[in-house]
Amino acid sequence: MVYVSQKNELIFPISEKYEEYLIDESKFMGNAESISFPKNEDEIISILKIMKEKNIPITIQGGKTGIVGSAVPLEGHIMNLSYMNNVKEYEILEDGTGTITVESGINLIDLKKEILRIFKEKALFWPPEPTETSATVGGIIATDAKGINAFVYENIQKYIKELRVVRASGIIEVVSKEDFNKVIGKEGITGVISQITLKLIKKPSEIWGISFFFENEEDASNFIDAVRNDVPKSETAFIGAFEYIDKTSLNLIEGRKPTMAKIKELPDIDENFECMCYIEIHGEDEGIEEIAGNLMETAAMYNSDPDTAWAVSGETEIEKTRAFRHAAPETANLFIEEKRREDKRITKLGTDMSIPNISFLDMIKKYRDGLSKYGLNGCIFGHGLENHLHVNILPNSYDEYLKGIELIREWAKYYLENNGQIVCEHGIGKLKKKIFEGMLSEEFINNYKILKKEFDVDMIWNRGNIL
Amino acid sequence: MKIAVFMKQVPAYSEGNMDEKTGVIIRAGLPSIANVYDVVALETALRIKEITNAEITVFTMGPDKAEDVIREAYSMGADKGYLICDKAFAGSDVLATSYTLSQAVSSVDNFDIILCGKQTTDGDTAQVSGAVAEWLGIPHMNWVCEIINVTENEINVKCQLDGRLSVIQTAYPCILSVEKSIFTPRMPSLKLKMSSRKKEISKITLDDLNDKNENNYGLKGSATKVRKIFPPERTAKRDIVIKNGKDGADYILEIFKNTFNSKEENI
Amino acid sequence: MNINLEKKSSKGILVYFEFFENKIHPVSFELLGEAYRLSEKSNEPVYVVAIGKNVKVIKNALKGYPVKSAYFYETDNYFQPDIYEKGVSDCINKIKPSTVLIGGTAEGRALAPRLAVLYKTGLTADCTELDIDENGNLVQIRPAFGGNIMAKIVTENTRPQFATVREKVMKPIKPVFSYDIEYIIGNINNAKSYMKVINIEKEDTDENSITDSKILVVAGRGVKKKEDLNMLRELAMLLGGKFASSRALVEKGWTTPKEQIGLSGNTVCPEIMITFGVSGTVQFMAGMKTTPNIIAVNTDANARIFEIAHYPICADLYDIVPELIKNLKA
Repeated sequence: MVYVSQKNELIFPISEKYEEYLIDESKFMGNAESISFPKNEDEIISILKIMKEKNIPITIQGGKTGIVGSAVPLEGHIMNLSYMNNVKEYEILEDGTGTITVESGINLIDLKKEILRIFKEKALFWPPEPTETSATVGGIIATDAKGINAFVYENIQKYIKELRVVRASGIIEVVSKEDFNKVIGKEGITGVISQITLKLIKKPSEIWGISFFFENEEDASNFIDAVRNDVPKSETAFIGAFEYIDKTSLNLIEGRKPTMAKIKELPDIDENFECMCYIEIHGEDEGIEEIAGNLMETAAMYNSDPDTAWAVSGETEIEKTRAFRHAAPETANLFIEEKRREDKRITKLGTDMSIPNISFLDMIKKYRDGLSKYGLNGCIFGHGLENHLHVNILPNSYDEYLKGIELIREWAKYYLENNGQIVCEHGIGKLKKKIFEGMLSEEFINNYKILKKEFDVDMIWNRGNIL
Repeated sequence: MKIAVFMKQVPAYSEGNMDEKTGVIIRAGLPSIANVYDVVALETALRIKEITNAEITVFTMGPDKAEDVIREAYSMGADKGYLICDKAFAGSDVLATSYTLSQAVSSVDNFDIILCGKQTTDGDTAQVSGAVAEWLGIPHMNWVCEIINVTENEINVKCQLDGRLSVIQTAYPCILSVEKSIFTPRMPSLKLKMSSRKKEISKITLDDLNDKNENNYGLKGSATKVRKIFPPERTAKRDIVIKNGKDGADYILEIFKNTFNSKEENI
Repeated sequence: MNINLEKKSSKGILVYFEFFENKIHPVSFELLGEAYRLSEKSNEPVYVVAIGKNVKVIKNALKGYPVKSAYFYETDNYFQPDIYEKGVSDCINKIKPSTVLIGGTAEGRALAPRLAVLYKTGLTADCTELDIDENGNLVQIRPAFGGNIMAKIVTENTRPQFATVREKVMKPIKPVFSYDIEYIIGNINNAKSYMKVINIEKEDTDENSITDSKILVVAGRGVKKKEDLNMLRELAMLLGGKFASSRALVEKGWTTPKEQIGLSGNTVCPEIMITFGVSGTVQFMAGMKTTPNIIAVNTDANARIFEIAHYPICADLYDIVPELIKNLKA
């Protein structure tokens, strides 16, 4: 049947055609009764009003690229913000930088395009780089996604000038800087981010992306530890990203490569290589070379043949190697997607933990021991210099999936006992809430409870996330 | 054995780089890259080098900034590079470009094989290789999709023609323009990239050429003239129509018919 | 030679007929149609040149076409640019045409640049539109920058003016003329080259890539059962295109990643695409939005695909597809 909506209709009952809005990249699937696609703050408020009257909870959705199910509804209403993707205004500042005010549903592809169009040769950018280009700005802020460049550009807060949030009360609040932390990383439980003014900074004059290949993981780990202990610096350049990708991930990527346009044109990786380190150096050519030379020597000490190392520069080439890095989580998610076809209970099982005081080698050994102890397969990739790896369990059955949860809990316990962090950038959402049940400290949970009380006592927004 | 490779610097994106009102191509702020097809030509040269130990010389024609292309070629393994750069060369069409390139390669050496990419992503003409071959008076072939065999004295290749593959054998010198599918280019090597910054790039100006008559180069030496550039007519976006069953099918087939407005004639 | 004299003494539009194993490439008749239209405007005769083995069989095919004379060059050689150049140049030397039209095919685009340089004249590649101005200049329009820019190009001071013309753009004409065509038979068997064609191989036509296809039929979430994809695959075949799908169906395991369009699959840009039951996610549209002609069929008038579709059709694919198949089979 042909269904033509009324002009002013905002809310649509859920039907088969909205199936895709019940799931996100975590492959966790939920339920909902209705969905809306507001185009502005007024519409958000109208929809909110209707839902509040009926006490129907609202789940906020951006690009659905999250991996803990934050944007997956358990019940009630879905508010999908992907139509709120406009640039509202921009400003070019005297120091050559600028700001851009966007609606929260704009994705990174469009954001980059708009920045290029508006600021042209000023060459500005917004530093958070989660490599998932269809992620929305609102989603990035709500999960506090850090991405591969967090090591140097640090907190996302530094790159936000102003945040507008629609609270449960229906009031639009311009959030003050001091209160940013009541929104950033709070997974939408305190309100819906509707508009953001982003601070843009100058692009580094050059970026190099270097890939070192290793024939065994121990060498690579020792290399990473050596760099961590003495991070090479120069006056005009710095390491902007330091990523690790293991053999299982490389195999998954190579297997998918022929059908992935973004990485199809990269040459095959020699089968002898067990793992790789992808390092970005940002700055001026001379400084970059100094650091690159330093890294090359260190890598050679740990048996990475410098003749096999790749080095690209220029935005287009960097985009390609970043796409390769991004293919690591992407192919892990595709694996889960395939398994989910056999058993709907299977979802993504990935870690997002960091630990400060042990060596990379010890950390990865701990992961390997755990995987072999539980007889599980898993791929490992992530941020080397921060001891922040994403271990993705690749279960072949629901039984293995349950074992995987147990294993992640075991790791989390160890991390908590050793001053580690068990949630860094993916959020808690619904999946991690389940996985870490009983493990998150009372103090931690209380913080969220206090916020919830302050901003959303009726639990309208994102019910089921964290709390 | 000596191989020359022609490479061109082009804008990284082809989307949205024209001011729709003035018709001027906007290049400011847009990154430039080595034409992707030419990188494949370089890879082909590197593969031949692995077999015959050839020396690879890269030529690029463009502004000073185009030397980035040569540095990239060095970081992939090219041995020598020449930047063909003179304000007399600006505004060249196919005739003038191919003449300049033929003069430039002749001024440097006698090359056995000259390799070109299938086409550039900005000009899209796919004509320069054949034109250079004519100036040099040597045979050429386009659409090379496979190297069957290569020795110091001859090369066997497969060329993709319409609906058939042509297997060609030729002695040297010759010009071959390669399809993108022939090889996946290697990544630049870190070691070579670091050394490439200090590696010499020679410049070829009008003075270095045999024919120094500037009327034969650039805008003056071009036979064609661009009268106007303008945005293509996009298919207009229609309003939503509700058409079911046969109505809908007829409507769709009509669209197909209008898109491919000529039909193959039977003879 | 003085430019004006050369221009004045050059007259006629020469069309290169592409000939291989007793078959004429269809683009040849498209060129002939365009040459006729141009000649009506500039009041010039139309000529034909063809090269190949047993090439004079073209005679029969030319019957009824508005051609003044046709030059056939016999040779045992399969196509190679430096050899075939000899035939065309011999013909050009004899008739001194003002314009030479060559198909924008693999063969034509390999041959044309040699000839243009031989006569030190202009060549415009891959033209999609031609005209003749009041001064007898061929006005050539061609896309550049991957189709993002159109350029209008002329060769003002030299003759002949060479153009290669894109296939399937110009309309052929019907053979309804009663011209007494003059046939001139020559041969180029003495043309020598150290390059030679040593074999011709049949092309593997089983190249299944959706990125190369000019026509794509795309299935989306609106398809209810896996078996229903059969009719869409059949439709793709009937239309002479390829079948592709959105990620939703790959996720269901109904289609393969090789057939997937989108950010995590293939980026495509066919001439024309028709989607059935595709809602148009950001990920999907990132992989196809440069397609110049998009027909979208969806039951939901709010489907996002309709924002970028040139021909949005609000309808049920289960209603339309069987009708399309019926019509195409008829």
